[in-house]
Amino acid sequence: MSVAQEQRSERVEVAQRHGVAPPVWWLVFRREFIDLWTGGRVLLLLILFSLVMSVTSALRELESSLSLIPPVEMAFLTILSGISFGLFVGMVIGADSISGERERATLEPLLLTPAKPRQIVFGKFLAAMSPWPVTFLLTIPYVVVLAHGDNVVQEGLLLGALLGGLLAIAFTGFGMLLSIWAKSNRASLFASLVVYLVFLIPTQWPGSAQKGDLGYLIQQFNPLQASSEFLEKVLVNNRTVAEKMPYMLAAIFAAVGVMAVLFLYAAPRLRLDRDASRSRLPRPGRVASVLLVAGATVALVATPATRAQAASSPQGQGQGLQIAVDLGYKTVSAGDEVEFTTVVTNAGATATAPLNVAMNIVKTGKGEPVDPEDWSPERTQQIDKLAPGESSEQTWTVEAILEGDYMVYMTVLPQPSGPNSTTQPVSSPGIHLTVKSFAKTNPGGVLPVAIGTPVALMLIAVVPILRRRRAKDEAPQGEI
Amino acid sequence: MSQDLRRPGSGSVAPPGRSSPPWWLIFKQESSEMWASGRVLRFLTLYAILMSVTAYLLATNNDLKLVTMKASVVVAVTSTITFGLFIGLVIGAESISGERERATLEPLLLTPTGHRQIVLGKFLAALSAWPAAFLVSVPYVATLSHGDPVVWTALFWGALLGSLLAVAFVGFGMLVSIWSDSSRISLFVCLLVYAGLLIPAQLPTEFLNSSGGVLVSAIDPLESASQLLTKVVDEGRSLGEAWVYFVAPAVMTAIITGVLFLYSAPRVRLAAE
Repeated sequence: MSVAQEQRSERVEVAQRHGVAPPVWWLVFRREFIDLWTGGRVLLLLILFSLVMSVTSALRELESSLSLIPPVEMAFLTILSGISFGLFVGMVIGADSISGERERATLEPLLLTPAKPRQIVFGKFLAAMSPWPVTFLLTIPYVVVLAHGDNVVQEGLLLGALLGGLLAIAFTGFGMLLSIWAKSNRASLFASLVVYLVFLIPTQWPGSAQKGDLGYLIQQFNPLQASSEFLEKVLVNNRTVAEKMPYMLAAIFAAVGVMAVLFLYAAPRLRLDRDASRSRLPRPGRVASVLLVAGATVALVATPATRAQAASSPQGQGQGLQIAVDLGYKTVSAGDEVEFTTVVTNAGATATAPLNVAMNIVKTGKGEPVDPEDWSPERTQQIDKLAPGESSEQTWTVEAILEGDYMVYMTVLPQPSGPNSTTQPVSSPGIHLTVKSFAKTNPGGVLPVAIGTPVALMLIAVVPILRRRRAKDEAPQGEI
Repeated sequence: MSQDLRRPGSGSVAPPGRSSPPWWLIFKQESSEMWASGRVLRFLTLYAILMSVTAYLLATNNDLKLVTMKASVVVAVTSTITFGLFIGLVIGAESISGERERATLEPLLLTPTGHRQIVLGKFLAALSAWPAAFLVSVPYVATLSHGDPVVWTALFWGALLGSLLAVAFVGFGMLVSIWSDSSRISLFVCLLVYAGLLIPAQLPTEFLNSSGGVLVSAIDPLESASQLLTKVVDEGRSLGEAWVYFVAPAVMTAIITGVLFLYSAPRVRLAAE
């Protein structure tokens, strides 16, 4: 890049022409933008982007025809891919922006101009952001084709543009931050890609491993996962934006946080020497950051309080059937099992048809809807015909998964006699289940290993650093 | 790197018949530099942190009965392979192009050592991180298994598949490194390929169970390893039933090793091919 060399003459030219010189950030942006786009680097990344989008879209189309995946879900997955791959382009350019100039020795003339470092960073940031709108535009045809005319396209593209824009700001800014602080652009590029992969890796865990309070917490903290969750719930599951707002906060905080650190802290300290540019948080600041991360990761507190109240009155009418449960309400902690028994009685004068007893769980307040498969290994039980006055007993187990207030109720459904008939289901009284948050801080005894192993490795990794430092201190002054 | 080999009077010029083979000297020098400088240890620390988060989440969800013990063991072993391979890939990607950048490849190529021996020494050094990563993961897997004998099956298959894939990924990293002008390019290409191989895992289960999904899984070595572990360890199937998922890791390893040592290694030059 030759911004510095051309900047002065350009400013003079423009100033002579218009009487007023354009701001420095605009000149940096213009030059950087032209370099990026005419140098072919962005175009190469965009070709790569299109290839990846085409391959994944073809796979999804195949998947859709095989598994009958609805168009709305296809649109969501395509928008998500466009965002994930698109912000990668900006991050890579951001990661190269400062450290690359340092390596090519083109940063010095730029810093020697009267331009403020913040203006230089701002110009470069805007240039690095420039591929994002193009990647998003390239995504549109894929979304339109895979949505097969579904109305979700407009809303999806609007939300995708919003979320993708926020994430592009966060990831491009993060790449630039690393670029300011890194020793070489190899290091900044590598660190950026590792962080990108770390955000991507949780998506590799099976769905069941991403549930539970901790799973949802990780989802909300990871901007990529949180954005995916937000888009899916709003576009596919028809939830409102307000309802799923907590999942959007990760992207908002990531963008705002990265911008604040980049422009308020790192940019004014931009120097030729990366050590002078590097973040030097005071010791309490470092400790606080570590504690914040540790606290967020292991935010699992609350004392278990379990109390049970037995027996409720058996009620229920309809075709002489009655269903009773032996539990009225119970307070448990997430992870606890709740067992109860139902008794189905035929109080009528005639034998019943074969019966099905089904368990239903409803969350009484707002929040994640209950996935009954997660909550109970057995959700239905069959009963043969019941003679008049005969009863049948069933035992049930509910595994409390998430904190909240729930109603569990049982329904007995007589089997219809034929395709042109129906029957009247009979419901039991509800079981009010209050689930407190997961209380175990050492689930499965894993905590000592989870803490001990990285700590041990950190201590071992410190040894070579200390040895180098000691050798440096012991070396005669002239040898350093 | 490998200064012993370049320095006059180092092991390479010891009396014939007594000196260690050059690949061994390169391996020794390279691995001791990697480990003593703390580079591998830093990777392993990051790896252990990722494994800790994964294991804690799995243990929590196992307590919540969201995942079975066997499934959590499989996820832990799959994570071991996924994260562990990354270390070897990155070291391999930097091995030749990095030396080119630091201008330390020239003296190495000027020694009377065969290029294949240089590549072999570096390959083994880059591979040395994998056994360490696997050992670090053993306590996590053992804890998650709660003493169930399934831990032995999981560790056996994890070691076998992980080692095969480690050879393939380190080899791939080195191939890209040989062909790249700068380590920036080789790292970028390798990480991009690695990220690409993670994509099939994000496809819905319905698709992965269809014939198209089986094909995609069988081609992608990472997804193949994950599927094989699920079938054999979690579902208790025999290798005969899941052999299709063993093909990709084995074939990929054979091809990459073949290309690396038979084609690329003898052609290592100061400039990228």
